[in-house]
Amino acid sequence: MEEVDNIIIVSLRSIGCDIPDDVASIKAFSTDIVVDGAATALATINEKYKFPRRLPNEMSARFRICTNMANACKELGYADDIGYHQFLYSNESEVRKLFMWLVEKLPRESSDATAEPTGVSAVLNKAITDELEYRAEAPWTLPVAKRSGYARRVATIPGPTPKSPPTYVPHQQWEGLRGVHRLHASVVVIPAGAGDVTKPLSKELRKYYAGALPYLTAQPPVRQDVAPSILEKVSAEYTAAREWEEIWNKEGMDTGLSEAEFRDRKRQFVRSKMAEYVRSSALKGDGAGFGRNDADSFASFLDSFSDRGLRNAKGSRFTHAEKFQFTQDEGAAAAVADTEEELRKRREEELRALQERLDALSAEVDRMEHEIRNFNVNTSQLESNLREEKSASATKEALYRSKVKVFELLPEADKNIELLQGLVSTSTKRLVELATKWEAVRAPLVLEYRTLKESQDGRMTESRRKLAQIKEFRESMKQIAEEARIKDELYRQLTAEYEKMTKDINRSIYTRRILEIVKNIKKQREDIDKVLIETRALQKEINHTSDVLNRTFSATDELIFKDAKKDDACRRAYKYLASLHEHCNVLIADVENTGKLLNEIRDFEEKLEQLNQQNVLPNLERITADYIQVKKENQALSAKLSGRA
Amino acid sequence: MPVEKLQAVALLEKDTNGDTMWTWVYPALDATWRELLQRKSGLEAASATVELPAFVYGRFADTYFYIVNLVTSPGAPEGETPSPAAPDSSDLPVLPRVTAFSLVLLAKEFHPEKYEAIARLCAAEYTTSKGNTVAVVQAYLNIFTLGRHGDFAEEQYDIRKSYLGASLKNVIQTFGLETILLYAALLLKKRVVVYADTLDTLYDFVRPLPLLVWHRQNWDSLRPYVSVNDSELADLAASGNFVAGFTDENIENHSDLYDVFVNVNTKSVSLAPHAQESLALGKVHKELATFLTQVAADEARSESAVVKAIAVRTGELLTKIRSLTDESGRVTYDSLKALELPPSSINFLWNVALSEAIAHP
Repeated sequence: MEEVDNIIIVSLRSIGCDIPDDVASIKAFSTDIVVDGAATALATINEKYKFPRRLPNEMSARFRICTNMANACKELGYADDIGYHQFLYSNESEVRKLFMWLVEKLPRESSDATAEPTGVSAVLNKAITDELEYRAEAPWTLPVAKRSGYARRVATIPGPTPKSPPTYVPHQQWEGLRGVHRLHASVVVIPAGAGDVTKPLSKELRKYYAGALPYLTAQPPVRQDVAPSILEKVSAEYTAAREWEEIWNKEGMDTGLSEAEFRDRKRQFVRSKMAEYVRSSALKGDGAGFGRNDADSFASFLDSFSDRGLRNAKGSRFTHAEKFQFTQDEGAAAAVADTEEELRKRREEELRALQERLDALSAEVDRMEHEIRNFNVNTSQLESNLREEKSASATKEALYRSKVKVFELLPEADKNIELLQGLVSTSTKRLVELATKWEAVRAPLVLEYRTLKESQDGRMTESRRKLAQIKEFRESMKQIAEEARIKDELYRQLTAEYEKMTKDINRSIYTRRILEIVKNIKKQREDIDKVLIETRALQKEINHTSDVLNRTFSATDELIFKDAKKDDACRRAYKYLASLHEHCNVLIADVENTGKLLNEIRDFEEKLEQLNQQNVLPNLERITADYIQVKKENQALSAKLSGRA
Repeated sequence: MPVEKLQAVALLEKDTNGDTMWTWVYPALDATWRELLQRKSGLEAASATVELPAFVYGRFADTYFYIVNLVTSPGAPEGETPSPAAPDSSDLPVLPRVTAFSLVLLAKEFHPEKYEAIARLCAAEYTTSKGNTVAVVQAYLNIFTLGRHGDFAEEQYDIRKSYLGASLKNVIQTFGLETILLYAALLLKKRVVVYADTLDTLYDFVRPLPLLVWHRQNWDSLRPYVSVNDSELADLAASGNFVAGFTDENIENHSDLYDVFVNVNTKSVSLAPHAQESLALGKVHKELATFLTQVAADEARSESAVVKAIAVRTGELLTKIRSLTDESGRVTYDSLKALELPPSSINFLWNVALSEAIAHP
């Protein structure tokens, strides 16, 4: 029982009960402690149950408070009977039961929170701590993006002279923006390769680094740009390296080239691509295309310029002229109106002249078209002629050359033919000889080439296989890293949880206690089992003995009964036997009765013990005393009442 | 008769690991030719699914090429070296590392049958001598100087037979009335492109086309097998008028290259937009078209008779035009106009006169 008591005491202390240190078990609980504990526990369970933690002196008030507390317990669902006497005249087991139930009911997590001390300064402190904690854990946000907090505030700072009435100057402040500038990076040069001692730098470069290159911090024109510039530079390099690695991993590895070769190839590819692009857009001068657009737009831009200038100049002249005419016309308007006939005539003339001109022009166009066609005809004919003539001349030339030779040789035809045939056959022979020689060289070379190629192929497949393996490894590496990261996270979480948990001492005590209890129970069960086995053995023995007895008796009975008819002594012996048996039976019954009685006695003793434990007597005394006190109080009250009346 | 028009002989081999390699050349091949022939031979592309063509011929620049392909170990899977001792291929056990090879001939003459025979002879020499190229040189030189080697004798191959190597009748029967477009295109020296998905069908339809203009006796315009490739297309464009065969359907998109496009697969003849005007059909064409189909439909007529009939008809047309020539031997547009024919016919006659180079501006 002491484990339970310990747990209860610890729990009660943790919710703020004032239990003296020397109290170690519920047995030692005084009424005050019981009431205090119950009141605190009830308040913790639900705030609406507010009972004084110390009982007043007046008996009736005590009685009332205890009754209310009992009712509260009932409301919360306490199953057993409960009343004021549990508090006022407590006995150990009932109090234990009650507290076990109350401790069970205590809210677990919030026990700390509810146990907080209250008070203005404490609340303020707490608020400050909370806010600071929240700020520390929150990710950094742009001040302008902050939804809550003091993102932008207009602070007022006192004016310069403290004596004059404080003139407050509005001053805008952005939270967390002290020393913040707009990100502005400029190009910086970092000496490349200077850190690697193994590779010698060129003399000029070293000289430049040593003498001409300003310090990194002096390179940006504004001092506050130093950090962003370096950041920019480094991140650009980092990104480039990352990207390169990605490309290399994705495409480069498969090509089987070395990294430098692959880089070269890539560069060449990009260059040729760009060159092609430029060329094609240049070619597409009058088609649609990016380059043309640009060029065109630029040209048109220039044109528009010059046009505007011209148009303006022309325009001005034109407007001038128009103005001029207009004024003239105004003057001559009357004259023109008079000679309308003339005007028509003039128009007709004009029309005729134009018609003539049109006819002449169309005739000209026809002629031109005809000419063009003729020229086209000529060209196409000449072209095809040229082509044919060219091929013909080539063949004829060859023919001519051979014929010249033939004519040269004609005079001595037979001899020359023979000579030529001989020449042909010798040169053929020579050629065949050469071919044989070449074959002797060629065949092994081809064979060697093929063997080498084969081995190279073997190597290629091998390297490809290895590449695949490397890729696999990389993949698994990544996976493992990811796993490790997740596990780390988990570990951190668990540690955090664990740290939170260890603060709660109850748990370990609980577990230790529970384990002990379990151990005890096991031991007890073993004992019980042992006793049961013994009992069973005894029972068996008893049965056995009684059986033996029965059998012996019936055998003896039969034996003697046979002889009893003949022999007197035997008859007597039989009588003795019968009485002996009877007496024995009585004896056994007595023994059994005795056992039963003993059991009963033990039961009664236990009951007595229980009753004793409930300390009825002292309780009765206390109740009587309380009763007397209540009576006294009542009398005093009635006396007061009557005195008033 | 010696075969002096032979230019070169070469061997292209496909190894067991799938690489193709020029193993032997006589007397020489430049890089352009090597690249072109490697592409044409189909050795590289050949695989389990793509069949290796047995015989390929064509023309590039002013030279014809003839390629004979032989598979040496048909069953041997790639990458597995068949052991030389094993009798893997009964006919060609001698080239252990080669799955197939091409014997390439270059010549200045168009005669597929003759050069196929020479190429096969050389290839046979190569295999029977167990990969010794001396035997090939010997055969080549014999044919070059004497015109004879082994079973081959130059006299057996008449150039005239090669002209009738493929059936013109078949072409006319296939395209029916549309043949007139081909006829007109050839007569007017237009550029004709023929597309078929297989090489054999392509040859059947490309080769007979010059027969439509028999009177010219000109086979130089024939380019039986061209690939869609920058250098080949450039060479084609530079050659003026041509009849070119393609197995790559992308050629249809290069409409600037041709005037007439023949798709053997769909049996259709179409005109490029820019050639619509010059090949506009008139009454003359209609007559000619019916004439062509009638001639080809006549079962009794042999191939040569069909060609002859068409040539006679063409001759009549030309005589008619020539009859209008002036003292300089040329025809003027105005004299054609005097015939009082419909304008489309006059145009056609004028264009014919132009392409026959008897027109006077």
